[in-house]
Amino acid sequence: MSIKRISILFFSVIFLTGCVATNELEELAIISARGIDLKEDDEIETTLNIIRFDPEAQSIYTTIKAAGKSVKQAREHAGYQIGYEISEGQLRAEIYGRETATKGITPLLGGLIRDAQASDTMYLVIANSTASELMEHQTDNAKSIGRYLDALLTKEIKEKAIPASNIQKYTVSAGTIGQDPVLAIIDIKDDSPAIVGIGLLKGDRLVKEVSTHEGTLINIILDRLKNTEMSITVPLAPFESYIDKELMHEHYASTEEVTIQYLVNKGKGKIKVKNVKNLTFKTEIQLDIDVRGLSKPVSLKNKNAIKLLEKEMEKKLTDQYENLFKETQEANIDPFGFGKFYRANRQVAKLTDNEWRKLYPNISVDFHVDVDILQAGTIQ
Amino acid sequence: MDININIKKNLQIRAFYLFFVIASIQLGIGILGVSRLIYLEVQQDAWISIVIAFFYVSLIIMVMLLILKQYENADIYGIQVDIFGKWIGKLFGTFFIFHFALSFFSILITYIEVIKVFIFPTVNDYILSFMLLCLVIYSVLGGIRVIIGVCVIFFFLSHWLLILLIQPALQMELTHLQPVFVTPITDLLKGARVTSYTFMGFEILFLIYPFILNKNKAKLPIFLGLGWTTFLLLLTTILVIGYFSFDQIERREWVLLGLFKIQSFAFIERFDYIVVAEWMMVVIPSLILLMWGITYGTKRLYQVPQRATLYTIAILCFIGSLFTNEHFQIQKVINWSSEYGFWLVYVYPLLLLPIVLIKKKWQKRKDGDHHVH
Repeated sequence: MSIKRISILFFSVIFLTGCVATNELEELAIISARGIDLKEDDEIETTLNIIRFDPEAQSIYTTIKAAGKSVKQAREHAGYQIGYEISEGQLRAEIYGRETATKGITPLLGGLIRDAQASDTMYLVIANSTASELMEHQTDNAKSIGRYLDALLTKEIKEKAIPASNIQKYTVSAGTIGQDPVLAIIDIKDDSPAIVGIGLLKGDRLVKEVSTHEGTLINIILDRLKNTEMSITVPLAPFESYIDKELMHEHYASTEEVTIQYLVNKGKGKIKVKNVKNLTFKTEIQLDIDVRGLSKPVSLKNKNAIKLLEKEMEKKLTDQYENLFKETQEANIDPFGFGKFYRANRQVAKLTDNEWRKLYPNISVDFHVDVDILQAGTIQ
Repeated sequence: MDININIKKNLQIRAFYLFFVIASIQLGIGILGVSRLIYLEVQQDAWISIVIAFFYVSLIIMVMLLILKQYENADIYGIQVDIFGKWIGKLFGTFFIFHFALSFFSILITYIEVIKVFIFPTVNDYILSFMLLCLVIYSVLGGIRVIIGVCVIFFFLSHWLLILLIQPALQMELTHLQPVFVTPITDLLKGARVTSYTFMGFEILFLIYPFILNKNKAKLPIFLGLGWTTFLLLLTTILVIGYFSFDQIERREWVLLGLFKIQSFAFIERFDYIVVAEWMMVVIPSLILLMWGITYGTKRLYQVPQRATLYTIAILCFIGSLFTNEHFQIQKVINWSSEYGFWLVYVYPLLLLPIVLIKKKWQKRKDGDHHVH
């Protein structure tokens, strides 16, 4: 290369960098979580959990509050309170107050989807009280709630213990006819933010809360479980002959139940439409599990004991599914997504959301749970 | 003006490279948004529309090859002059040049818009347009062999992006694609019509054909190129339908880029930035092939030196891009390009073929008569 070419290259490399706006980390306030509460008069109150590098401050995290007619306007107003440029690219969690969530969250999301800078991997969660109350809690984990929730939800969702709660999954579920979204509910528990339940939404409004265990049950159908910890309580009576009498201390006798802690190696659920016209469905759930522990000294030495345990668990899980399903029918929400299978198998025109809401309380579902115990630990 | 052209040995290319030429010129800016446009017409049966479009494009390519085969070594500019005479033939040739210029301009401004929306909202239009045009000028100055080399290299440098689609593929909702075969045929055809802008570009064959060294082997690479584009279009459309819900597809402008927003790695958190930047390697080959079509055409028709046209068109596009920076203006340019191109590329060859065949037969008979007398 001649000296001319090298110099052209050299100068263009130096000068072209000036063409784009620079973002210096020290001058940015990075929003890591944002809480949203609806106030009166259409006002939206946002609480921003911000990371900024202020040498004077003790912590890099800080929380500021701002209100506006839209989320983006609130962000503009927040700009007046902080001497850094506010950046949204690292927003990890959007937190809705419970009351706000019951009023519908899709209108609040518009800006996030419109803005190409916002990430699709961000989580959406519901605060048990208001978002600002959750975010202004003065403990270490609550102060850095964006980072903390990101780590917590990423882990739980990776373990498939709760259904995916990110913006992409939410918008797909909310937009699919015959499927309602589910989001995690967060509250302060022992001075630290924790997942306390799963919110079931009707369209984009929160209408019902179920336990995290029921969240896992839903997730078996929505996703596949892999190495997921679960537990279940079954009656003790059928295991009478397998109880190790010597280890059966007195304090065990207070309840007539045994709790089994188990790891799901593989778990999957499949919805099948039995009859489109009669609205009958079949749901097959298959769980391959390792028993990790029992709350009472029931010996699993015997093959028959294992078989019995499988049967008891199947019975209990079927019960739980049927109860959960009945509850969703009463609230008329379809977190399992029976509607989308109905739509897919119906050869006629489009299914509307209203039409499915009318049909859903009348569908009947046959839950069939199949539990396979592969391992019962090293203790026989 | 000569109807048949003599291409120097050192400018000829092997038929095998036509695969890259066809695939590179078709894959560009169209594929970013076309899934959405088809979906709005035919919903879950969108893939059937693509298959229909594939067969129609195949038909057009067969027709084009048939037209070209009637001549010894001619391109569209020569053929039209032969058929319609000097003046009308040159006018029709200008229509082609104009078509290439419009496509070129629409791709340029759309890509600039994508960069601005996704990466640099505040950057000036003229910087991006200047830099892109510099690359185009630099490559086109190298001549046809350099252009094809760029197509080959950028083809391999850009296709690793497909690996990133695994993640959205795993999150697909297959019921979105059901029930199948419920859309009436008229809607399916409408959906196929929408793909015209995306499939466009194969008309470069009309120009590049005389450059091919082994013409008898040209068919296979051309159809493989077309098949590859169709495959990618099918793949991305099915992914988009499965991955997004109806509302999302309806609202997202460049829906394909949305598929790249979910990947996240420890070393790079947002892959869509990389993809938008990387997309330059998809866009540049289309741009330089189109630019080559423009400069080569003006040289053939009006004997203007290629360099002069290259710089003139580049400056015109540069000025033009400064004034078309609003979203709806850009959409309008794309619509013009797509409408105009539709008649020229998808309908015109079907009309040209019978005329060429009749003329050739007539000429043969005349020649035959000549010999008898």
